[in-house]
Amino acid sequence: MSNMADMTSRAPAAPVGIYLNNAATSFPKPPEVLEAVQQALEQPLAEQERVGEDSIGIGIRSTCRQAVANLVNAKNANEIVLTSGATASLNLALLGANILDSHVITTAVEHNSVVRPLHHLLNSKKIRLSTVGCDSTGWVDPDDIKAAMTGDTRLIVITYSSNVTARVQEIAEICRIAHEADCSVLVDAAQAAGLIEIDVQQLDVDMLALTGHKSLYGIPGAGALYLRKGLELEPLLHGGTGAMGQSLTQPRRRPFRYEAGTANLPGFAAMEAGIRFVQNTGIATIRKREDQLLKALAEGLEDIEGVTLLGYDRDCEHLPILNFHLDDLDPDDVGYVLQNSFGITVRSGIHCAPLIHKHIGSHPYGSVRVSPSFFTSFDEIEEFLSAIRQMCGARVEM
Amino acid sequence: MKIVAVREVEDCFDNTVSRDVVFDQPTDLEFIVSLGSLGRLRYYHNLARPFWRLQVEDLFSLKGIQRNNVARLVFKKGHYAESIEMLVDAVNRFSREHQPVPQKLAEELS
Repeated sequence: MSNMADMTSRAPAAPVGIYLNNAATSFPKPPEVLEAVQQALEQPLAEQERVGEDSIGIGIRSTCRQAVANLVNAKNANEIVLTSGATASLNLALLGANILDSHVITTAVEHNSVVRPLHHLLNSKKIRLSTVGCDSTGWVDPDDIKAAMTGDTRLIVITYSSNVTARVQEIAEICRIAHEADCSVLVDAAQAAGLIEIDVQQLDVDMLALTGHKSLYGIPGAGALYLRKGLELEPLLHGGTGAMGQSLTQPRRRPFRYEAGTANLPGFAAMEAGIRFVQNTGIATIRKREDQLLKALAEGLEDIEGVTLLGYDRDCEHLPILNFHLDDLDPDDVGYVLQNSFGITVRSGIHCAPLIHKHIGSHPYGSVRVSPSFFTSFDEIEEFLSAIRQMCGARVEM
Repeated sequence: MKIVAVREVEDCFDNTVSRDVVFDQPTDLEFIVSLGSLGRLRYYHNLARPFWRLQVEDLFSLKGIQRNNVARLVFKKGHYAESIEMLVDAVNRFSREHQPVPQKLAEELS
């Protein structure tokens, strides 16, 4: 435990207040991430990014691409497309995939970064869409996905772990079911990356989207898409790539095909440094600590009269995100009071996941979501619980 | 007391809109209690910094932390003008009348 304390104490001092909204964006960032951003900005960015005719290089993007490839155990760094985040990755995968006039399956636990592009395609009559439900913890039964498949199902889109209940899905089994029917699988790993050992080869995933600014401890504006070798997408952006400049059309070679425009190099430097931090610390170590924080949160909240946990089952695998509501206050009010009366940041509402709430008992107002990070202390959890205790039963009607 | 600014606030809900209403001075108990004439007022006194919430049926809610000079207005789409007008009237009325908190209530909340 003392080693753990040493590691967490490396976090830079947080400003006044307690930050428990790490499922949105992690804070604070490890020192190496801050240093990487500063270093990236200390010299002309173009000089740090020499792209040749082959994509092998030592520039920020190449290093970051290789770091992501290592993180998810991709066979080759050219299977990694760098993007501006999970939303961009998912849009590239969904709008660029060859799924026109076919059937697509998704689930009720998805974030709007999946729901909206799919409904855009549905409303444009470009795809047919089935949305599979989930249980009260946000778990999607692979058999329900199998039952929803039709002869022309071409793609299954599912999150590795919901940004609301954080229940971990059975991705390997879903990929097995999909591939039996010659169907591809796109996984949204925005919450999972950095908290689960992801092995795209073992899972047999076709595409996997992630972002740098959550549990990879990078900064917003950088993400990636794993795109299995042999799978091709229609690029969404056409433009300069820093290589093959004489071609009047977008190069067909990866990574240039999908990475047009001036890159967010400080963002990719931060993502690479964040991945380095995660791998040096160890995903198992990070997860163990965050599981302990989750357990402390859950047990503490369960002991408070007037609190109802939502979508949580201690016997199931959840990432460190917990949802609840209070009998006496709307979720939005709870978030407001925590922020303004106690200086504690959480997230309240529907968390950009509009379909899951009917399944977990939080429709229509959503929930209060608490999400610690590796750097959260147990004292901060106790302070949060103390605030909730004060809030329960404090009302006077006038 | 007067309203000096109304700021836009991002939110997630489709049928309501949020704005932060900025007052020229901190909201004290007297002012909060005066807002109760508009609708149902709840006051959470047992907190480090008391929270209050006013619900005006079918129109808007207003919530804040006592001693802050900002309160969050949440209104139904298309009802901004009506909501803010009602609120401005209440603020002006308070400024004119400046009713002290009834002794019994002040004792109960102290």
